[in-house]
Amino acid sequence: MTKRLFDGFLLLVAALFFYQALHTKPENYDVMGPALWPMSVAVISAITVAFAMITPGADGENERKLNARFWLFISVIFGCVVTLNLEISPFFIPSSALCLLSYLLLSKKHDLVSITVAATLALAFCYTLQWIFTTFVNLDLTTSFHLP
Amino acid sequence: MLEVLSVSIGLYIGLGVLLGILVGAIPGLTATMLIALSLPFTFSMEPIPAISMLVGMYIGGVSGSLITAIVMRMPGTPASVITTLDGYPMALRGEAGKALALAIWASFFGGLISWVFLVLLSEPLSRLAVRFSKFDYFALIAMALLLIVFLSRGNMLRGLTAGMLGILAAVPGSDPISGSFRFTFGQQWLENGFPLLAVLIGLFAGNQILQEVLNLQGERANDSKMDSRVSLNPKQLIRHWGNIARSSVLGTWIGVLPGVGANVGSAFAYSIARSFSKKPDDFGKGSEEGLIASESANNATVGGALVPLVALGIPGSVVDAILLGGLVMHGVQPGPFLFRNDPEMVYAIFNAALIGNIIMLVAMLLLTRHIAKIAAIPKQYLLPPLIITCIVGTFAISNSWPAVFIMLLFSLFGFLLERNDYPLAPFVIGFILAPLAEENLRSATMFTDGAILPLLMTPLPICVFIISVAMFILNRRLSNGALDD
Repeated sequence: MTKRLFDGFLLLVAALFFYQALHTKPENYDVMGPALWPMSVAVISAITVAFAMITPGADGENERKLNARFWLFISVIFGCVVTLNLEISPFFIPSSALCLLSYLLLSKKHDLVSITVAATLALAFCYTLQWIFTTFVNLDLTTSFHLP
Repeated sequence: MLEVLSVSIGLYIGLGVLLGILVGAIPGLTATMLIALSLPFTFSMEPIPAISMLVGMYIGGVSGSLITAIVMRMPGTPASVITTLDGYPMALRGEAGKALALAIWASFFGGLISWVFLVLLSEPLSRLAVRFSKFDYFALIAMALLLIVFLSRGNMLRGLTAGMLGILAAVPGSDPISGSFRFTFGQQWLENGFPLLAVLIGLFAGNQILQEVLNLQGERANDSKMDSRVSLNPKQLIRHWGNIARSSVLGTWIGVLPGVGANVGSAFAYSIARSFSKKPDDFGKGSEEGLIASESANNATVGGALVPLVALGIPGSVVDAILLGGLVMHGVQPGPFLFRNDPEMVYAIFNAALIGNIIMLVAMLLLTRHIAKIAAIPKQYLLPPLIITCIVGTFAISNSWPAVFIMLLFSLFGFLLERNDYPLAPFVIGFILAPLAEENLRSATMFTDGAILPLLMTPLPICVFIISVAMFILNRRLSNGALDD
């Protein structure tokens, strides 16, 4: 079922590009123009996806299901990047939170000692990274609080 | 020229090789991922040290994967899958040290022989390529894409779809002929298209991390059979000289074909070695010949794959596609004029391929036992810092967070593509080569007033078609026969 959904999504992408190609202005001097190449590729993609949907493929029995841990992991990463994008706190805080939360999601050791060690290492790693990249590489990572 | 031979360049190559060996040895992490992730961090470096280090990573990554392939039956990268077939059985009978030594020396000689071809073939090929017409160039690029579709794992139809999707992903942004914006769907952030590095880091690093998270099973370190010194009697190596030479040459020529990688080279050489062997039944049960054939060939593909990159500006494999991105990022224009416009870069690549190979030999003979221990570290401790590195590396591209969101998007997209049996390699090759292909085709049709018959009438496109069909048939035979048992 999910394979069909994904194939449908790809068909939609191809259709979108085809639609956009129809509304792209041609160039006078260029015989092919800016739209013919993407239009042709979109059509070929749609045809191959349609054939792939008909052709029997692997049934996915041996695949691992996308469990709650997986989706939680993705959410944590997105949450961290959104926080970093808002630039309200120094880089090392949300990034060490991401490190720690990831470790907690992936590991089965949740005793106080392991968590303390993980948190310390996460803070040290992320702070060092922030220092290196702002001092030597001159990246615009936030280094202080900018609360609204 | 002297800069290329300096000690500092040697140190950069050495660092690249060591990082490559370490990452290549860890199952689930690949040289592709390492190079993609390292690109943003080389921004502040000069082009020659940066590219030298990246080539070192390439060599180290392809070689390092043999360690865990032999001692844990877990190839660090796809390049060493075939090595597992005979390397692990040798380790099981207490010959891990001997297997590692044979594989390391085979890798060294494979890399050395392919280096000779790299140096001898690149310049003549680039001089020939200068005379290529736009149609010829388009035909070569089309062959690169077709070959990687034909030789990709799984369903070929899905491989073709993935290639087409990669081409579509490269369309938004500025038109390669007129420079005006197209296919931005009204979004300002799409005016520069999808940033190459964000896409590469997402597809190879982010996607791989997601797969590791999904497949993570427990805290237990991997069971290692590393219990003996890495050593070898020279006579044991010398008696395999014919196999080494044959497999290295085969691997080199497989690598030269655009779009083909180390795993195909090693599979092909393994199959040929078995057909030449006096003991073919030993293959798959701990045959030294099988081990040597696989490792010579997969390292030989490195030098072979660099030939089209240096001579034509067409990547010989997915890793070379990322190296191509690195060259462009550092202001180097790849293509047949590279020898004329930037000879230092060419010699830097040659230098890195040779010195990297030597450093790989020494490092692996000395450090393999320790690397095997590091490679056994549970993923729970490796993955979180890796995620942060992906985020920072992507942010470094443009000092802005939208690129990081694009990286995350492509991580998820790459994950879903592979989960639904769409191979990644055609997508990446399509994404990287599409602008070049479109530019050449449109320029050519401007000269011929829209006619594309010349594309089908000149010698090079006909040769390209024959090679593509031959590789298709060869791949079908390999999939159906040689390696099934």
